[in-house]
Parts: sequence; C-alpha cells; structure tokens
Amino acid sequence: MNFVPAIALAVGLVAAIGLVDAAPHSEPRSGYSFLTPELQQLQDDDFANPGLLWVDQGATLWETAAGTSNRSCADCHGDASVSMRGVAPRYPAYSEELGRMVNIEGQINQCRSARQGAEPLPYESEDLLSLTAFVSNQSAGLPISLAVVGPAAESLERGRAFFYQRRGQLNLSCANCHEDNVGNHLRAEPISEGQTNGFPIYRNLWQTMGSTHRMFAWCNEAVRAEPYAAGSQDYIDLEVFERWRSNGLTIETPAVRR
Amino acid sequence: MLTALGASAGAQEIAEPLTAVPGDAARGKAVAVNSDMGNCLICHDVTIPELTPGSSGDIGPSLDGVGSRLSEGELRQRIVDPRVIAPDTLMPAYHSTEGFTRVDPRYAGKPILDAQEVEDLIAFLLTLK
Ligand code: HEC
Ligand code: HEC
Ligand code: HEC
Repeated sequence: MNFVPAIALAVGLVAAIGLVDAAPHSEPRSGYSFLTPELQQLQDDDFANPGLLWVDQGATLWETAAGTSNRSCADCHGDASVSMRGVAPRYPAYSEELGRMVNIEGQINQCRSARQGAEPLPYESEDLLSLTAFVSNQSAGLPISLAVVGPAAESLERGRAFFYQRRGQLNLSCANCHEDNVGNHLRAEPISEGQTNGFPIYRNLWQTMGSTHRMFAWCNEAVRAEPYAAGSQDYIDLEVFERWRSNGLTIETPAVRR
Repeated sequence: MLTALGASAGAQEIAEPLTAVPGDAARGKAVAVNSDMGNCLICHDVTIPELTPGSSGDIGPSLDGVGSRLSEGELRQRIVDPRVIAPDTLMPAYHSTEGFTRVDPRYAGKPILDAQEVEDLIAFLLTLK
C-alpha cells in the first residue's frame, strides 16, 4: 500500500485509542486547524510561505500579453484585487458559454482560448497553478459561498454520490476518512475534513504546489482506485460538492499542508 | 463500529488454512509492518519493538492481545474478508477480489495479500497474546 504519507510527523503525537465514530461536524473546519504550529506559522508568514512564489508568478502572468489577440488578463479585467475579489468563493460556476460547470482553472483556460487566442494551459503546469493561485488569493479571507441552483444543483448531487461511493482495492469512500475519521490518525497523520478552501496548496509531500484535482487523484490512489483525469467532469462535480461542504470557510490560498 | 467485528466473534470463521505451508510468524510480522504489503499499522496500533510509539494509526482497535481474543479461524475470516461479519466495516478485505468499484488496473483482479501472506500474518497475530 503506498498511501503512507512519506513525511508523516511521528514526533509528539500520541495515538488516541480507537475513537472510530467521530461526530458529524456542524461547522466546517479548515485543514489549517489540523496542522502543526510550525506549518501554521509557515502558511501565515507573508515572506516564508512557499505558495506565494506561485501567487507572485501569477501576478506577472496577469500582466503578460498572450496569444493571437496579444492581450493580457489585465487588459480585460484590470486590477485583479478589484475584479477578481469575490470570484473564487463562487466557483465552480455554470458557464453559459460552455454549457457546463467550470472551475477556476477551466475559466482561465476558457479566457485563454476564446479571448486571448492562446493554447489552454495544461493542468499542474506552473502557469496554470500560478494564475489559479493568483486569482484565488484575491479572495483570501472571504467565505466560500457556493450558490447551488440549476445545473450546479445537479452537479452537486453527482459530486455527493462520488463522495460517498466506496472505491478501490481498499474499498474506502472520501467520507470514510474525511467524515467518519476526522481527527483520527493514519499512522501519525491526523485526518482533516478534506476541505478545499486552501487550494492550490503548497504540499510538503509534493515539494510543490498542487491543484484540487491533484489532491483528489492522490486520495483516490491512496485507496488503490483508478483516479480520474484532472479537469474531468467527474472531478468538477466532486469539486462542486466539496466547495458546498466548505461553505462558510474562508479562502486561504495559498495554503501550506503536510 | 469498534465492536462490530468483535461482537460476533465466534459466529464466523474460516477454519481451514488457505495453504498447505504453515504460516511463519516472522514473515507475518513483516507483512503487517510493511507499507507495501499489509500496512496494518496505518490503522492499528500494536506494541512491538519495530514500532515507534505514536507512529501508528488509530482507525481500528489495537491489535495487542488479538491472539487471545480471536481464534485462528476467526482471524482468518477477518483478514480474508471482514465484510462477511460487518458489511460496512472500514477494515479492508485482504484476500478478496469481489465487490470493489474502480480498482486501479495495476491491482484489479488481485487480492491485496496472497494466500501465503495471509497465513503468515495469522501466525503473527496469534503471537499477540
Ligand atoms: C484513506 C483515507 C483517505 C481517503 C479515502 C480520502 N482521503 Fe483525502 N486525505 C487523506 C489524507 C491522509 C490527507 C492529508 C491530511 C488531511 O488533510 O486530512 C487528505 C487530504 C485531503 C484534502 C486536502 C485538505 C486540505 O486541508 O488541504 C482534500 C481536499 C481531500 N483529502 C479530499 C478527498 C476526497 C474528495 C476524497 C475521495 C475522493 C478523499 N479525500 C479520500 C486521506 C484520505
Ligand atoms: C479579451 C478579454 C479577456 C481576456 C484577455 C481575459 N478575460 Fe477573463 N473574462 C472575460 C470575460 C468577458 C469574462 C466573463 C465571461 C463569462 O462569464 O463567461 C471573463 C471571466 C473571467 C473569470 C471569471 C470571473 C467571474 O466573475 O466569474 C476569470 C477568473 C477570468 N476571466 C480570468 C482571466 C485570466 C486569468 C485571464 C488571462 C489568462 C483572462 N481572464 C483573460 C474576458 C477576458
Ligand atoms: C483502513 C483501516 C484498516 C486497515 C488498513 C486495517 N484494519 Fe483491521 N480493522 C479496522 C477497523 C476499523 C476495525 C474494527 C472493526 C470494524 O470496524 O468493523 C478493524 C478490526 C480488525 C480486527 C478485529 C479486531 C478485534 O479485536 O475484533 C483484526 C484482527 C484486524 N483488524 C487486523 C488487521 C490486520 C492484520 C491488518 C493488516 C493486514 C488490518 N487489520 C488493516 C481498520 C483497518
């Protein structure tokens, strides 16, 4: 089984015995509250948080003209701290243009291909992570507030079914870990609620930034299930359900995680 | 959930060993500890010198004393397929290929542990008195 987090912090954590049925949570709880004080400090430090390198790179890309239109994001959207503040809490959202739910990554690529005349950026590329982190960071401190009407409601129900479906050779659902065992430990690692308010996150285990869909794939692989492709509709639906679960949690991008 | 497998102890067992070769407790300990094999300690604590205290999981009950609580046949059922006893258990079925959804193709059609590994593991668990 290859789901032992390689950098699980063994030091100082005493396993509480056999607390299997964690009570269902009423208030969502950020992954931040499950971190060691050292990692919390790293996230809070505006100079040391490694995720800010991607945010800074995103700020540069925001101003950089691209594609056959030779236009930058800023040419259309102006000052991101104004135009992009409040966007991340509403995403994924229904795109009339595409006729489906899109996440922030998808909307950025839609602007690139339809409006800049540029190639869409591949998932997990430095540029897409940077722009996504930059756009999300404009909403830092704002509560997630996903409205679930129309196509979003259907997407949410598909995502809910995904979340409770047991899968893989280990036969575990997302809920088995992130609802039933919150606060319990896999080896020495505490299990959080699996909320998405910090994404893209800088994850020590990855030694880099990763998207929400990379995390979904990691958790799928942990139970030896075949992951879905990043950007796939299955993961967008799951992201909708996940964001709905996170409603009320404030955006922390760029979060630092184990 | 903790009691689910214990409560019906005795009700279900697989009395017959899966292989002709008797289980080897030393190899079974490696199966339990190794994260590419049983990886039991991701969910269970057990008091053995190989384990730094606090480095094991607490999803399932401690395995200390499990060799006194459960018989060889009961242990075999719980490792091979605990769903027979508790359909909703979180404990994985280590020697089954049935009833799974979307298994990674690298593992599809194969059990997590082969028959001899299961027997070795049981021999180890029986030493936990
Ligand atoms: C076998 C246990 C397990 C299962 C099943 C599992 N996860 Fe996770 N998940 C983890 C661990 C361990 C971590 C890292 C520590 C933490 O934040 O809980 C994690 C982290 C996460 C995070 C990041 C949380 C943060 O604060 O940044 C998200 C999001 C997540 N999981 C979603 C999911 C989803 C969606 C599923 C189902 C597709 C799933 N997980 C299934 C164990 C699991
Ligand atoms: C030629 C003009 C143009 C350019 C260049 C452009 N966009 Fe857009 N963008 C738009 C328009 C128009 C919308 C609203 C369209 C819609 O809702 O479908 C939009 C919507 C968005 C949204 C969603 C906003 C919301 O309130 O839902 C994001 C995020 C975004 N753009 C990011 C970017 C980024 C990042 C870039 C550069 C990589 C970029 N855009 C380049 C015109 C542009
Ligand atoms: C994903 C978590 C998980 C893993 C991995 C796991 N177990 Fe379990 N195990 C449990 C849980 C939870 C229970 C409690 C029974 C229940 O939930 O129905 C349990 C129960 C048991 C029991 C019954 C204990 C009793 O006192 O009744 C035995 C024996 C056992 N596990 C052995 C193992 C062995 C050996 C391995 C590795 C080969 C293993 N488990 C791996 C979660 C796990």
